[in-house]
Amino acid sequence: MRGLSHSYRGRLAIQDLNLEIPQGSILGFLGPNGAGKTTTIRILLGFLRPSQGQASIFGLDCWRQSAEIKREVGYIPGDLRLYSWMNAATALDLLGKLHGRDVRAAAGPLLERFRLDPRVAVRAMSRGMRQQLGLILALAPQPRLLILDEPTMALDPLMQDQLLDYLQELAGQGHTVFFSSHTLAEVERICHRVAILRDGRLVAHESMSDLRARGEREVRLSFATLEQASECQLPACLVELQRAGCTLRCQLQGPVAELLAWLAGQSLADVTLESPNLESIFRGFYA
Amino acid sequence: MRGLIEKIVRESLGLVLAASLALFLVVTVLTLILPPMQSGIEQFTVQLPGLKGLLSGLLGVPVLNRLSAGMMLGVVWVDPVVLAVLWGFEVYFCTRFPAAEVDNGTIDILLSWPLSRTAIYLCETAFCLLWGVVLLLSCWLGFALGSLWLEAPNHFLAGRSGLVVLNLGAVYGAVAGLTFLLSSLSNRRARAMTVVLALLGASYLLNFVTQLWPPAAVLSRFSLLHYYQPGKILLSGRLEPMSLLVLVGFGLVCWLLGWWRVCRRDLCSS
Repeated sequence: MRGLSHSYRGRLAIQDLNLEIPQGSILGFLGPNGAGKTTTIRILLGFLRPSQGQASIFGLDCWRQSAEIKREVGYIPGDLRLYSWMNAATALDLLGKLHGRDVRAAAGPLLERFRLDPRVAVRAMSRGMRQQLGLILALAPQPRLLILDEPTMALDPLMQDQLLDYLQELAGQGHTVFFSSHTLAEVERICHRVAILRDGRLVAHESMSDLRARGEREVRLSFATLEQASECQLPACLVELQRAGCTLRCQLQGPVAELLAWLAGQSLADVTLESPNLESIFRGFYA
Repeated sequence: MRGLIEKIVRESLGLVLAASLALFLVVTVLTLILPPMQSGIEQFTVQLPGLKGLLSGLLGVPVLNRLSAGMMLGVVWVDPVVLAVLWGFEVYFCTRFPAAEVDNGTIDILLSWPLSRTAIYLCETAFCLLWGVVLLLSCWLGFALGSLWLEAPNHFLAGRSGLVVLNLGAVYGAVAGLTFLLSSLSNRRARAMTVVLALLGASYLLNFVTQLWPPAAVLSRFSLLHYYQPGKILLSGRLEPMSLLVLVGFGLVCWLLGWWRVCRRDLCSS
């Protein structure tokens, strides 16, 4: 995406987006409601025409060469609606004809993995089953790029795990995943990079490891005696949050190496270093 | 493309078969019962002079005090039930893409498949025309079957009734083009259908008004039904090429505008 903008009824839904997704990576696309995530996805799929700028996938223009692009792209919309007469078997047969190759063989393991009966018609399916079918239809042609708009929304926790594991496997095989989500935990779990959108603007685009390095961490220091706890002089990288008996709860605001060097000179009964809290960073971007 | 064809057939075959059967039965029955009612309708036209104007408007030929057998058979082709079934089907079918797909929210899935908008539009149009042929053929077969039982001079005239079918086919094409255009402008199927049906109703009404109120005669050319003249064709055995040209030209221009719009507009579920 280069300088991508889209206006709707005089309002700029997205403004000047510049984003590139490396092949074989999973990009987490985050943002509050109305930030422009779905608009961006719809431009990528050629549903919407950009007001300014350009979006391209595999070197092809998303608006002008949309049909060619979609031979290599699997998509699941946020508000999935399927044809009521379909069941998984007929839908896969249809999909195979549209792609010009049989996708049923590739769909077999997916049907098993998502535990979906191929004979149940869409009109008789629960919302979760429809979402599973939508995912199978997006995944069965084994596209080079997957664009998923809040794909775990209607899935139960077990199916969510199955999907997230499968996406990681796909990325490992060189497939690229564009993963739009509200759920920070799942983005943190599978994404290599993260892009955050707010009011139609890209406010962050960085790797997950960079983001983690910036995350605040909590450190719990437990001393053997009250005296040791009260006499302790904290280094500059630690900010005291709470003192309760022999235990100090602190926030790490610096490199871990500095903390480790300080800890080596202390006589502690125990020390706990929590995982970085990405939620506070995300919330900071959202606010 | 095969997948798209299969989808369209799955979604519309039942409806087209039902509509064809309905048209076949209605036209057969009307062809059988209308000619024997000739004297009764003549009496009506004497008691209600306005009825002559209405029949003239519908048949495309001046109706005098005596109704000919040909005119009575012409009424079959302008019967409101026949036109309602035919137009009802085509207005419903031609609003499938994009209006109904957007309305149902399935447009996101349809457009996520490797199909261009042009391919979908052309495929829908091809089936609209194919189903139109099936429906018109049903009418013609019903007319032929009903005519078998009629005595001379109301015997089935294949050539003349074929020209009526051709004229009705041109009306079908004009309505289809208009419907495709309105569907391409709308995100709501009901809205697109309502506008088309309202325009058809207005066209029907205008055709009557111009017969009953001579100063409005100049407006008759703005009614699609002005170019549909089954009575005239059955009586004279001639179809005016200009009528055909106007109907086909109107349909084609509307259809091209619809295509242009579909290829340029934003299309997604709302």
